[in-house]
Amino acid sequence: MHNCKRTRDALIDLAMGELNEAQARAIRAELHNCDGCRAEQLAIAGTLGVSRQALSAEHGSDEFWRGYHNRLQNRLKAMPVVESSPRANFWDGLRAFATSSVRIPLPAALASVALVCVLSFVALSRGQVNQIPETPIAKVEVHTVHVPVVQEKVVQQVIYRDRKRPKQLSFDYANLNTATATAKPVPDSAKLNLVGFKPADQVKMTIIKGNDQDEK
Amino acid sequence: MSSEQELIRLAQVGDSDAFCVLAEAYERRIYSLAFHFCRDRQDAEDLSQEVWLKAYSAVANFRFESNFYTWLRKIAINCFLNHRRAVASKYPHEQVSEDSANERPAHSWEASFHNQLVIDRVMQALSDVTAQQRLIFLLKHQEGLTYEEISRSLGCSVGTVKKSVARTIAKLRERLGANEEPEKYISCAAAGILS
Repeated sequence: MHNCKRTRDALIDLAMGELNEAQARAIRAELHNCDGCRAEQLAIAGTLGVSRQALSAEHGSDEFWRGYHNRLQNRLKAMPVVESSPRANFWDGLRAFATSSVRIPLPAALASVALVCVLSFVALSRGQVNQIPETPIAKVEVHTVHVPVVQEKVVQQVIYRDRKRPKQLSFDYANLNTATATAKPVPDSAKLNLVGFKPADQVKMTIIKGNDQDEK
Repeated sequence: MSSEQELIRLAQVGDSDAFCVLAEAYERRIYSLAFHFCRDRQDAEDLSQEVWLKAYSAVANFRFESNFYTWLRKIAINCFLNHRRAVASKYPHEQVSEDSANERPAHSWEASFHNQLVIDRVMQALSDVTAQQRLIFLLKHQEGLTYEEISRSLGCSVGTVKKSVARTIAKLRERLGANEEPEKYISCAAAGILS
């Protein structure tokens, strides 16, 4: 399907030689089918042909060019001689490298700047964490001090005496099988005697009724 | 070793005569480019000679990695851009003098009235666009650079280059009357140029 707008948009590229062979062939095929597009193509080609002729027209007579060349020659001879040296080349190359620039899209530039900022911040914060605080070195001074020795004093005092404690208890600890086997050994004098003890078959419980007022 | 390379090597060790021989081979192309860029004969001479002086001072660094004219054209483009910046700072709104734009040179290179008419109209069309658009058109149409090469040389996008070329062609068509009677006018004008 022929599209005049699309074809005419490509006509300048065709005239300027910016299309590849396949694209050019396709556009030329389109031109066969549309008189309007073909007229447009002829107009562009004619305009460019005329302008090329006009631009390449001779700009001056031989006399003009002789004068031009003489003036250029005089100016060149007046210039100081510039010779190439490896040292100059090195510095020129270094200067060119230092002043060279690269065109990158704005979002990429902003992302790079942000990345550098974040990395710098992280590096600085890590440096602060790892940094050992400087503590002043303690200055050691030796002084000899004569201290009088305090004489040792022995104090004896009875803290507690149980005057009411019975001398013998009637409870035999030896017959008890308790988990407290590691307990302190009980002196023989303190062991209870349960010989003759017979437990009752029945439990008797006596309930005494009363109230609080009786106690008063 | 070709004679051009030999001349370049001689110029690199300070032989100004050898450099003058080199300049003689390319000075008309550089001057033409300068003239169509600045549209004034005196400015074109100053600008083109400045290109040669810069080339002479930098020829010691030429490493034969590219064609000599390609290297020279890069210097010329830088000179033109510097000139444009200087003009822009001097005249912020780039007051184009109609007299200088339409100035008819007193040389004998205009052979006929038709030739001069067409040349004047082309020059008028080029003066209607900005300096950058004009330079882009000249680099594309006269020097044969690709859109990509022009965008790299001037530091602008390929889209800008395409738009500049389209804009300049539109102006040329307008000035040459190609929009009204393309076949009649252009063929007549081209016949005048070619005669």
